[in-house]
Amino acid sequence: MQHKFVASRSVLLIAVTLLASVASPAQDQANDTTNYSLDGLIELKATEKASALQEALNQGVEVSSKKALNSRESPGIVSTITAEDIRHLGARDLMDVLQLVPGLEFGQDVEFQIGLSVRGNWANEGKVLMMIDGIEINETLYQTTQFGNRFPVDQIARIEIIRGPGSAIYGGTAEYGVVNIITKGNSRMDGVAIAGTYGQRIGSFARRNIGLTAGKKWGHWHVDAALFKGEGNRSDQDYASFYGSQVNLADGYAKMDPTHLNVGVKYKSASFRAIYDYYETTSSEYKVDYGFFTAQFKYEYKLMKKLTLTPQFTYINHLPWYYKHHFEDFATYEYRVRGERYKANLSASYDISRKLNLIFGGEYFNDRAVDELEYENFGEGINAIAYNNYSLFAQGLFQHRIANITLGARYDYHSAFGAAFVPRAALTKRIDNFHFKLLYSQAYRAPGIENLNLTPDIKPEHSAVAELELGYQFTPEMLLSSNLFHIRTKDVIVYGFDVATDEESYLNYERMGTQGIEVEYKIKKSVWNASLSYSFYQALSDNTVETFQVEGKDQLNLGAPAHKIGFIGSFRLGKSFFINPSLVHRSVRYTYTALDEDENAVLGQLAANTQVNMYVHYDDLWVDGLTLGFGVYNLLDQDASLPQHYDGGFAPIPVKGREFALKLVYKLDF
Amino acid sequence: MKSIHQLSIIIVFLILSLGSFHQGFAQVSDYKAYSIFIYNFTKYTNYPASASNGDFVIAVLGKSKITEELNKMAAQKNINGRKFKINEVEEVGDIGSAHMVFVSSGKSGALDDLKSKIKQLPTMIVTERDGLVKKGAHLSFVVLENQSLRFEINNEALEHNSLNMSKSILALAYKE
Repeated sequence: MQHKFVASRSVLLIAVTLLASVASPAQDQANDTTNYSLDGLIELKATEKASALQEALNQGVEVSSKKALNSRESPGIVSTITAEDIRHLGARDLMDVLQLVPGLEFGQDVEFQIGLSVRGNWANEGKVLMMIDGIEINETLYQTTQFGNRFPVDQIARIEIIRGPGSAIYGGTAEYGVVNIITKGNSRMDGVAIAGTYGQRIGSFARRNIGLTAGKKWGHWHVDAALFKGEGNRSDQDYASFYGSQVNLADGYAKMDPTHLNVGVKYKSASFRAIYDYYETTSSEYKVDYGFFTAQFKYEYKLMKKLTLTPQFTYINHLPWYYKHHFEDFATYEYRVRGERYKANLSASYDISRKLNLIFGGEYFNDRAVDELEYENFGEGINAIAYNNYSLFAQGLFQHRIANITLGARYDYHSAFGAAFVPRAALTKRIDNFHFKLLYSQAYRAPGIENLNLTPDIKPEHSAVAELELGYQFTPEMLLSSNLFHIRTKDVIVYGFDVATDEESYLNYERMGTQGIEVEYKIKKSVWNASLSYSFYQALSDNTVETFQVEGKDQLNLGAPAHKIGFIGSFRLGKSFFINPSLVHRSVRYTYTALDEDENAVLGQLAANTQVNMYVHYDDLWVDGLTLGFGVYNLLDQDASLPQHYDGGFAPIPVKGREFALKLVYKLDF
Repeated sequence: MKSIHQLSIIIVFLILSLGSFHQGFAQVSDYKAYSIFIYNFTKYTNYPASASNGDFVIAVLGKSKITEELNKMAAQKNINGRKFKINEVEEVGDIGSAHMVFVSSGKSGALDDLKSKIKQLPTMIVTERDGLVKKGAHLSFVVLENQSLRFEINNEALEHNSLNMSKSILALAYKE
C-alpha cells in the first residue's frame, strides 16, 4: 500500500511538472536574412528552425515503409529511441529500454528464457521480427529471440520499433511488431568508444559487461567493428519450480552471458555486414545456449535517377535452444539442431514523381535444419529437413497535400504450408501541429521449422489489425500522441503437450485478440526532457485460446498487465551532470504459480509494481569524452518477477532487490 | 469494453480540444525565407516597359503571414529605385494592377479566376502550394523532404505574360 502511495504521488508530481511547462513557448530568434545572395537561396529552409524534439520527429523512419518518412507521417505506430535516450536512461541492457515502450512487455517462455509480448499478446514465437542493422536475428527453428543482458545497448545509435503489424513488408515473422536496432558502427561512426558496466545487488553479483566499437572513414570506404562480452545473473531470489525443486538463483541458475561481434564494410552504395552472437543462459534445471552467425551483402544500384535496384544476399546460421541438463548424470546436450537460411532479395524503388513512390520486388529463401546430435529430430531416420519460400511484395506511397496514402501487399508461398497473402492500407498526414494515422493491415505468422516438424499440417496464423493515431504538438518542445488498436488473430498457433501420450504438437486455435490504447507525451527542453507513456489493453471477449486466458478475468491475458505507465526524465545540472529518473508501473498480473495436489496449475496474482530507476552521469570527466555513471535500479525494491504469458508449467522468475550499477564510457572521435 | 471506449473518447477529445486553443507554437513555415525568394524573383525578372515604372506592387491573395515579412522587406529594400508596395487582398477582383500575386495555400482554388483576370498582363503569379505551375501559375514554391525551399517554373506562362527571368535564377528552379 505504501509503495502504491509513493508511486501515485511520483506520477502526480511528474504530471504537474510537465503540464506547467506548457506556458513557455520558445521565441523565434531568426536574423534578418534578406541580404542572402542568389546562391544562398538553395540553403533556405521552408520552416523555422526545428527544436530538438522536432528534429527528432522529422528524422526519417524507414522501418514501417522502407521509404524514409518523418515519424508523424510514417505508415505505422512507431517508436524511435536514440543513443542519447539510452545514454541518459543508463540502460543496462535492451530490456531496460524496451520495457519503457508502450505496449511492449517481457515475459518468460520456458526455462527462464525471456521474450516479448505486444499489446497484451504473447509474441515471442514468430510474432516479433528482431533485426540488427536491418538483418533479421530471430532463430529459424521456432523464430524466437531471447532477452536479458544480451545485446550491447551502448553500441546502439537508434532503435526503430513498429508496435503493430509488419508482415506486409517483412513477411511471416512480423505479425505483431518489428524492432530494428541500428548500431553506431552502421551509422558511419568515425571514432572509437569503449563502455563498461558493473552491476551488483546487495550480497550478489548482477552483471559485468564490456564493449568496444570503432568506425573509420577513408574516402568512399567505411569500416566498423564492435565487440561485446559479458556475464550476468538475472536474479538472486529463491525459485520453486512447479515440480518441487528449489534453488537459489544466485548459485548459477539464472545466468545470462553474452558474446557479440558485429563488423561492417561500406563502399559507396555497397555494404557488407556480419554479426556473430553467442548467448549462454541457465535455468533451475538446464543450461540453454544460443549461437548465431549472419552475413549480408547489399548493393543499392541507381539504375536511373528515379530507379534504384537493391539486391541483397543474406546467410543466417543459428544454433538455438541448444541445451543440456545441469546434473552430472545428464550432462550431455539433448538438443543441437542447427538452422540455416540462404536468402536472396531484390527490391526496386521507383520515384514516379516527387510525391509518388513505388517499391516492389521479390524474395527467395531456403531454410535448412540439421540435427547435429543425430537424434532423429525430424522423424525416424531423419536428421535434416529443408523448405523453400518465395515472396512477392509491392508498396505504393502517394504523398498528397490532403493525406499520404500507402497501399501495399506481400504474397508468400512456402513449400510446406502454402500461400499467405497480406495487404495493408494507411492514411497519414501532419497538418501543422496536428497529425493523424489511420492504418489497416493484415499480418501473418509463418510456422517455423520446429512447428512444422511437430505438426506438418499446421496452418499460418493470420491477424487483422486496425489502428488510429492522433497527435498534437503543443509547443516546439512538446508532443502528445495517442493511438487506438484492435487486433484480431485467427488460426492461432499454440504449443500443446499431451500428457497421456507424452507427445508435443502445435495446433491452430480459432481466434484471440486484444484492443486498447497507447498514449505518449514527450517534452524536450534545452536542459531537461521527459517522456511519459501509458498503455492499456483488454482481451477480446470471444477469445478461444485457453492457454492465454485468465480464469474469471475475461479481459486479461496471462502475464500481461492491463495498464502500464512508463516515465523517462533527464535533467542537466550545470554543464555536464545529468540526473535521470525513470519508472515503469505495471498493474496486477495473473499467472500460474504452482501445482495443486492434483497437479493442476494454480492461478496466482503478481501485485501491481512500480520499478523506479535513478541514474546519474557526469560527462567529460577529467578528459573530453569520458562519462562516469551510477545507477540504482528497482529503487523501491519491488517485486518485478517475470511470469509466463501462457499456461506453460513454469512459475514466475522471481526478480526482486535493488541493483547498483556503475557505467564507464569513453568516446574518442577521429 | 465500456472502459476502453470511455478512455478513447477522453483521449481523442483531449487532443482535439487542447489543439484548438494552442496555436502557433509548432514548427511553422518560415515566411522570411519565402520573402527572400520573392525579393530575388523581382530582382531577376525583366518586366515589359509598360510595367517598369512606379511602385512595384505585390498582392498577397488570402490572409497569410507572408504579408508581414514582405512589409519588412519593403521597408528595407527597393528594386532599381522602385519602392515595394504590399497589398493583402481576399478577392481576385481586388488585386488591382499588381506586378506580382502571391497566392496563399488557402486561395489555391482561385488560380483559374486569377488567370482569367490577368490574361496577358505582365503580372507574375507565385503560388505557395506546389504543383500549380502545371495549372498555369508562373512559379510555385516546393518544400522538399529535407524542408529545403525551392520553386518550380512554367516557362510557357512566363513567356505568355512577357516576363523575362534571368538564367541565373532559372538555374535554381527545381526539376523533377
